[in-house]
Amino acid sequence: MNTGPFGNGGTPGEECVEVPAGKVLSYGFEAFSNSGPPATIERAGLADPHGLRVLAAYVVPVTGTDLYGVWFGYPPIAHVPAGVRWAQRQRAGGAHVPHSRGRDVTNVLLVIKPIARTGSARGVDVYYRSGGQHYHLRTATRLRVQVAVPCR
Amino acid sequence: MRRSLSFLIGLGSLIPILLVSLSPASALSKAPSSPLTGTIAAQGRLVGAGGNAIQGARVILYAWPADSIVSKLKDGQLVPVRTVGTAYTTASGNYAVPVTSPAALQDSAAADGTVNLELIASTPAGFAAFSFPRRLAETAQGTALIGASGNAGTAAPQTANLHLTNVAASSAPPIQCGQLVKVGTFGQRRTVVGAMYSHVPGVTMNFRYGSGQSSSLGVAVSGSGTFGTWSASGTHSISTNASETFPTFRNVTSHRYRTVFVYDEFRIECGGLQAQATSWAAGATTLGATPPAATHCVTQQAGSTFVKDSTSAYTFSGGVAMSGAIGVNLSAHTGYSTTAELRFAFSQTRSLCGTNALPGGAARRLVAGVG
Repeated sequence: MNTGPFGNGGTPGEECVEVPAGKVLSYGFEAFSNSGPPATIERAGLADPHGLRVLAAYVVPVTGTDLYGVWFGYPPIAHVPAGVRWAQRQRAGGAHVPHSRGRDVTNVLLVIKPIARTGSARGVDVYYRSGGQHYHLRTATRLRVQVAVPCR
Repeated sequence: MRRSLSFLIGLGSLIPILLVSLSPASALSKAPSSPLTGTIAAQGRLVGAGGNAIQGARVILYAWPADSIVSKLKDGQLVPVRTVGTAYTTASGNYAVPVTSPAALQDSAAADGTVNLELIASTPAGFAAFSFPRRLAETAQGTALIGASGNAGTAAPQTANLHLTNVAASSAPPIQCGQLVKVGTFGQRRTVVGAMYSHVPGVTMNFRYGSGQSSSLGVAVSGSGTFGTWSASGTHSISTNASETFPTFRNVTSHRYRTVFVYDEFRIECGGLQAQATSWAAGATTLGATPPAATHCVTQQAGSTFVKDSTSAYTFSGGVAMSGAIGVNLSAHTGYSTTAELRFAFSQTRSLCGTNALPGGAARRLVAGVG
């Protein structure tokens, strides 16, 4: 895990989001750069999720300074940050990820539906193929989702 | 199980002696290690005061005793340092010190495995010293020295270019090579261990410096010990054994977070003087700061919080307030493991930006900005 060209998943932390009842969460907090040859994502989702269901997974190229970010509701938001190439998004499964140039990154965007009052995941998993090898990226930031309960 | 042997270290009647408990291996470690084999732990070049290469000088790599021993020394007490490896400089002044048996450093390690090492070259023309920490870890190949942050993998050799400093004549009796004596204290010194920044309202920031955290704090050396003759020369790692929670700040404000370490003065290796931290004294104060540029951003929805409980270490230049005592401030190099945390809570939708990487990546410093 975390030994491939998508990097080591960063350093640990936790993102907590209070989601209004009945809303879904667009979770575009995580990104990676591809230091290797073109890669193909096999699947992406939450790592060890509890109380959360992934409805859709996208990868979005980012050429600016801001990621898509964390928002309520389905994507896209009304004003996608400059540099987030929403028009070039792909479904994560089968997505083609070119070698990253400069500061360019690929943003993972998961549409998540809470199915319990509180939900959690260890991070985001991306399984991919590069140079004939299979790799597994797991990001180091944990996710906690609370339905109508403030994060402390 | 560690076997212990108590013994006396005597240097004649002029210097007080200290009863310490060390393993038999410690007592036998005065002889230099074999320079012929082993992993290179440190390398560099030794030059004189005029920048000329020094040939044929012996460069010794020592391990300091654990801080639990050093911090309890009284003025005038001495203690041995363990020889880890030796090398002799080439015609161009270059050296490379191998370590043959990292496992033998267990007695010098703190509870978290941190070992503080120091290179010393002592010649008739003066002395030079450079301190750096490493950590002992068990690997598939046996006990190894890894980076002080605890990241897996054997650490790359420390590069240290040593500059000889003239040693002033002293009325104090000389000490043998391989020993150090505490000569005084600089007392408690405020030290920066973290920082949080916000350009915008709608943000609440909390910082906690937790038990088990380690900071690599600047070391200063001098040939005479007089004010203004000290210069920074490496770092010494100190671990904390309790936690400090700092005041909460909100909205447009940026602060550096400071705690307190005790700095003491030592005479090392035949006459040089060294100032370094020996223990954590706790304490929590803050200092206004200017936000750095941070352009690796992610949007945070109102109602979200982000906690970073492990970061890549960041060096706060001048983070140790020592200039009033020795004429120069020293650096403080701090990263966090799972017991410390930076917490940003967003009551309005904002962006959170890292200075060198995205917040979820290996960001060293974080800045809240316009969403």
